[in-house]
Amino acid sequence: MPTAADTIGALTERDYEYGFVTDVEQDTAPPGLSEEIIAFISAKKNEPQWLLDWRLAAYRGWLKMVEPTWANVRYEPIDYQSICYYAAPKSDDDRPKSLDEIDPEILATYEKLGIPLKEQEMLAGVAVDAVFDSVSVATTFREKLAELGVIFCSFSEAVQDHPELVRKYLGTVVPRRDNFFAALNSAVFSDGSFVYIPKGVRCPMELSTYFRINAMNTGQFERTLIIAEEGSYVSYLEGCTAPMRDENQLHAAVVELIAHEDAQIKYSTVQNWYPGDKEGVGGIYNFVTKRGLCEGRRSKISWTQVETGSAVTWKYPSCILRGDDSVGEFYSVAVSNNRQQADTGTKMIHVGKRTSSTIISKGISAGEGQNTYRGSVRILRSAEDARNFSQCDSMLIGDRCGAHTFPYIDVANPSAQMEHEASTSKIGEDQIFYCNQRGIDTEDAVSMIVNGFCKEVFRELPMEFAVEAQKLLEVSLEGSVG
Amino acid sequence: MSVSRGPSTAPYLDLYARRGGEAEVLRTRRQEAIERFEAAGFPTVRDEEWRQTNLGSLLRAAPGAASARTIQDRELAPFLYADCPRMVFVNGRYAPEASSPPRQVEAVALAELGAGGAAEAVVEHLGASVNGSASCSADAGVHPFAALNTGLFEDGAAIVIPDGAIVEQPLQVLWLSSPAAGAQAARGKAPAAVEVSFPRLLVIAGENSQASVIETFAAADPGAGGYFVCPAAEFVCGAGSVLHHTRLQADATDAFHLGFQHAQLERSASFDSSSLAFGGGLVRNDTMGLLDGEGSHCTLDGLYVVAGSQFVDNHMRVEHRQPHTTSHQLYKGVLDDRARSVFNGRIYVHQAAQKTDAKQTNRNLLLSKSALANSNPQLEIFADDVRCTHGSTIGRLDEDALFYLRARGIGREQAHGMLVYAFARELVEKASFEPLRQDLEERLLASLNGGGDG
Repeated sequence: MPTAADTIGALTERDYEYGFVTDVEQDTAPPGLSEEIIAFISAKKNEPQWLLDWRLAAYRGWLKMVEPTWANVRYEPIDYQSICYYAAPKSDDDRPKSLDEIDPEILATYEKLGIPLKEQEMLAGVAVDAVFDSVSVATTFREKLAELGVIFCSFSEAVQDHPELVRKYLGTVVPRRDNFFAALNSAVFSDGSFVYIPKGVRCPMELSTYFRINAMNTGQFERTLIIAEEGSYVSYLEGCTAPMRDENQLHAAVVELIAHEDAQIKYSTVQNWYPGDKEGVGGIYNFVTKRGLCEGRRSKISWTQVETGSAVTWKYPSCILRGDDSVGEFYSVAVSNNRQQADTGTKMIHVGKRTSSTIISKGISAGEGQNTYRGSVRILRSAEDARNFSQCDSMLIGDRCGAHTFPYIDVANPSAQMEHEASTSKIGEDQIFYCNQRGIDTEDAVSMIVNGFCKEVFRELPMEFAVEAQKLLEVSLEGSVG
Repeated sequence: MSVSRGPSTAPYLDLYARRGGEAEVLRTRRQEAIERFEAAGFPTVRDEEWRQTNLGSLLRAAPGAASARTIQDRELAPFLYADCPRMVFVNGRYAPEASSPPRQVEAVALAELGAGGAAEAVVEHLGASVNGSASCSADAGVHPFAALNTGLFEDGAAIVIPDGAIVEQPLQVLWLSSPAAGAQAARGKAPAAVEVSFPRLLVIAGENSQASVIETFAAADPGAGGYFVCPAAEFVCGAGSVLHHTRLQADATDAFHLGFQHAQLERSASFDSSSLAFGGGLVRNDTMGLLDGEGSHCTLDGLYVVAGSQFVDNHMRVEHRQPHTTSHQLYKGVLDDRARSVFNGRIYVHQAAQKTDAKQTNRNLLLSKSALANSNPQLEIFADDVRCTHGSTIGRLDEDALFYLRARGIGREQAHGMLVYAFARELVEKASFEPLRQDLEERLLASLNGGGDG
């Protein structure tokens, strides 16, 4: 029987399964960042003047900002002038009307990823807005959603078709100068998803976007905006895989959610970007700003994330609980293996009365991975009877990894009830032994224990995602005894 | 800590230039420390470690060396425990007439440090935690106020407990502040000038020795304000030693108190410290525990009971460097009026420190709408076979418990008082020395009655 250590070795040495590069001609801007490049991007996308002004204001703000260094991550300095800020497939000017017109290579990419375009999409019941690099090349289920008045399209389409909505909400949750990476995104964002759920509509299907980073040296700057009107409900899925390559790529996305009275937004992410090889070469830098605003009373925003990829992750999906009785939730599983570094967590800002928030974070470190939970819970003086429960558990696999927890708790109202718990553990030899005795081999035992550790988070994921997440976790690491 | 261009250090460097001299053996150590202080400068709220501690009101006040003063016995009486060997310092200067140094141990005033005897050990360890040779990991950096104390302390206590000695009576070190009347600020206003004193304590516990030390910080006149106490204490716990430490801080409610404590533990040593803070307007304590020997254990507990516009900040850092080390932290806070508290505890587990067991708990009770509690319990773990937990709660009194008591005929005020007392009592009860326990209990009750219904 192989020992636990052998099993871990075998698992952690497994190659990245989703690494491949599709050859598609790119219409790419020269590397570098300047007002001209921003104007070029804006013109390429046929944007109105106000949006160009907005981008330029963000850029001017960004120039004055300093890259943050407080996160518990180490990486080579990024040369922002060597990044291409715009890459779109050639078909941009002449957008395909049906799948037949789409480059077979792109379709093949999706096949490999198992994205259910064509018939599969019907079976899976998933509407896919597939983002290939920066411009959406396929959007499905549009008509069905349109009947209900749901708008689900790429961000650039929304700028053309629904400028009033974009203008009203863009930057209201994450201001364009919010932080270094958000400002960069605001200046150069390429595309993303736009969702608008009208009053009282319960979106009948899970909305899903698959992102792929595909062109060499192209940073990807997604911009997602989701608006849920009064009494509506939407569940949005975001999943990522990226091809194998050796150059670090920057990804600085911004996601803004707005939930009006009684609305609910559920945002789930499975992130499996290329983490770099075992020596830490290559891999994606994932510096994301995600924030939701519970604007109306009784609104609810729920973030669920499974982070297994990226070389460096810097991500804090947050909720501003402004409406009375609003609810914020954060469920996270973050895995860092080999040389991966993750500094992730959440911010819950309680403003309204009787607001409540729940934070469940599970960090798993293996190899030489460093996993940090950094979270902030702020209960303002106006937040009468606010409640928060936080639980941050870490699991360490191997003796060269690290797990860190940095919660910040600020309470300015005595009626608040705030609890924070954290623990750190490893998979015990006795647990493995117990399973072995009952005929479960070490690999399965470890997988079982890790899945059990993450159960509270997986439970929050939509069905299809939960399966994918478990699979990802098995790939990323099942081995668990140091 | 990053170097930042904070407020000017010049007035304090000037104090260094004008200092009264020191024991010859300590000169280089002090010079080194003041250079470190000069390089680091004063921290600002832009430094992560000082994010929530605004030193503005302190650094705007012009510092002056605390004046020498003789103290009457009746002024000391409220702070002393009968039969305890003691060392009394007034405004940072040793008061031999009021002191009765213990016999079993070597207790010397630093200003009188000669050569030979305890001096060798003192010179070896004094400031070692500040100057880097024994300090926590490099990223902990220079603690500016500890460096400042090392450069500027006028006098201090060095207590050397011989190997194998078991000292039954606790040793008391009283740091009394008694600023000159002129320096006192009008109440409620930031003072234009402060009298500064730099109490310095070094305790060296020999192998397999046992002792307990009580530190008391107090003001001769509780109404006196406008002074700044900047103490630093170092504890060197030899293999197998057991050292108990109680730190009672009862400064005037508008005094500044920025303290630093560092304990280094050898194999199987045990250090148990309780810090009880009732006084001070702007209070900050940085406590570090360095578990440097296999099987060592440290307990760092604390209680803060604050009201009015008091601010108290406890920064803790416990480093597990060796296997089989354990640490416990329990900090409880009771906040009333506009009081603010910060708890920032960090457990750092090095890769070698397998089988670490660390626990950290912070509980805060908010009694008023305007009180604010910040709690940042942090873990940094680089070893896998460890058990580390932390927990933090912030809340108000349990309405059900209040109802229960009131249903049994206990008035609201009294029920309130009982519950708050019950919350805080755990840390007072820890004191095993009866006179100390009684004193702490009285202080707790007094501070609850003073601020409880205000």
